[in-house]
Amino acid sequence: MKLILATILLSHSLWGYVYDTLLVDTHATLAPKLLMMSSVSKDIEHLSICIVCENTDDGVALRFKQTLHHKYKNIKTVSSHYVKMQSECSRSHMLFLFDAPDEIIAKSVKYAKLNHKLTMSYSSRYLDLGVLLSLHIGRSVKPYLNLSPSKEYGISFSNSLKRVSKLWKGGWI
Amino acid sequence: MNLFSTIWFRILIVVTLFVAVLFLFTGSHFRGELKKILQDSERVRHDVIMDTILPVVQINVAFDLNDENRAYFADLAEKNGDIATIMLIDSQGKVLYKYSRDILDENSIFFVERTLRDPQNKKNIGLLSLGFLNFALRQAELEQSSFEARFLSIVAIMFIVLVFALIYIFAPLQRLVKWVESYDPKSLHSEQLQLSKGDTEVSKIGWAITHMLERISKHTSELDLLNHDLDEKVKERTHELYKSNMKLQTEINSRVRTEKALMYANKKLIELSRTDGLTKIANRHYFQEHLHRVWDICKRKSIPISIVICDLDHFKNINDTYGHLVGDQVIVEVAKMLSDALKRSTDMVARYGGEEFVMVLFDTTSNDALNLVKEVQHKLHSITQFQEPADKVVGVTLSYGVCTHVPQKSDTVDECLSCADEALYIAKNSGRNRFHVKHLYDTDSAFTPTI
Repeated sequence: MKLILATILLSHSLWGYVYDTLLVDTHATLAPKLLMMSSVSKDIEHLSICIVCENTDDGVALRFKQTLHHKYKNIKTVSSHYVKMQSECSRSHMLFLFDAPDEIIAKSVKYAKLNHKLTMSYSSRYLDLGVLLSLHIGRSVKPYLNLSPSKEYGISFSNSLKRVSKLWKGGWI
Repeated sequence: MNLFSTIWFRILIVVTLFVAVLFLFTGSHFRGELKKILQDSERVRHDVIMDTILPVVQINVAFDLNDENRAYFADLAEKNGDIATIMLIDSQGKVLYKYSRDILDENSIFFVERTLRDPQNKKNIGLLSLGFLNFALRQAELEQSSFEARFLSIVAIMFIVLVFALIYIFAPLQRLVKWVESYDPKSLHSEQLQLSKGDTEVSKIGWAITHMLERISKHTSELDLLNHDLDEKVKERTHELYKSNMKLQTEINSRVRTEKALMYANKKLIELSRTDGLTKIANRHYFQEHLHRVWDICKRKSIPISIVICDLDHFKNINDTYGHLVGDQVIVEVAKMLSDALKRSTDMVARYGGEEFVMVLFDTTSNDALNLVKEVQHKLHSITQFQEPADKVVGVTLSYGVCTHVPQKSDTVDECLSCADEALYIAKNSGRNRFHVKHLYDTDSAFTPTI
């Protein structure tokens, strides 16, 4: 029994967090659009998105990257890990954050805030930590918009995005 | 022929007026409906714009994103030319944003207002007011007015064109009318009708009228001859009639004169037939007529009637002594005296015989008759001298027989006359110069006084 439990825990640590490929594809499809609807950049020719994940999530990050390139040929992507994020994502306009411990996410958000970068996370629960964008997956897909920190970031969003988004403020949906 | 009095011109005026009035009425109705539709459409559009921007504005206000609101409103005003004013006020009444376009007519602005609610807790966080210019409505009204002006201009131009067309169409007819009006059937050299080759219908009418006028001219000449003959005959007959009338008038005048003479002669004859020739009082025949008339009235109304017969006493001696002329004079004067004694038109005195007189007294009793007799006797006795040739005659007296009676149904005039005659006989036999009163059925005389 102990052996089985140890095997499961080991495999979990090896395989990282659980992702749905369909949701990953959806995020990859919408991330550039949301980026363009922000004040960070409007020029699709020079957009750059940094995909940040744990070491165990390289596969899903690759999937995200491939889907994004499939949809948008001109967008530059950078795959990075949280430990190398500050050096590898310095030129990117957006940080797409896959799941990670809250301390790491908070640190990443702080980095983004200081460098005037847009943040979007796979999981919406990170919006409480200051991530600006996520997706609400329900009967319809809607962006989550975290406006309070975005004001502190000095980042604004287009009115059309505001009109179609759900507002996030302190866990309220 | 005046063109403006033709039926075609009147029809043209009526049709033109009808079209113009119908168009203006329809246009007015259409404009009203269009205005309502456009106002509704604009209101919906304004609501749609407001509902579209309201969520964004609410989010921006809730999160104090005033710069984004300013940019949003500026963009909105730039893209929507009909937005005249924008006013954003927070819950404390502070004006967060104000925009106003230069508008000349502020009355044409429609305001739409919405309360701003916090997207999280639905609390009132302000007020958004948008002012819209009614561009579409104004544009539609301008286009409608412009269209009406164009349409009426076209109608006016078409009317003028049609008037000229009518003038052109009616020109041959006008020439025909003038020619017919100036045509004199007695003139041998009337002006010929001048028509162009194109006026086929008018030419046909013209030729028909020409033929008709020729026939009229021919018949007029014949009629003139007949009229002349008739005038001569009328003059002749008039002269004959004048002569006949003059003859008739003469004859009428002659007959009128003859009629007047006849009437006078008849009147004289009537007078002669009723009057005694010597005394000029009524004769016996007329006395009879009068007596019967009065008798019938008295009988019908039961009125008393008195008959007095007078006779000159010893008249034969007068004739024998002084001659008949003297006797006649005495008779004439006595008759006049008797006639003067009667005052009423209903009473009458007549010469009854040679020296006999009779008086009929209507509605007179025996007493009244006696009073009259006494009056006559007194007058006679008061005559001292008769006129010539009877101036030597004296002592002329009369005897009177009086009969008074109220006639009954079975009584007759002759009975009454006999009664008076009997009374006279009694008076004569009693010594003359007296009277005797007798009633129709009396056996004795009432009295026979002696004067």
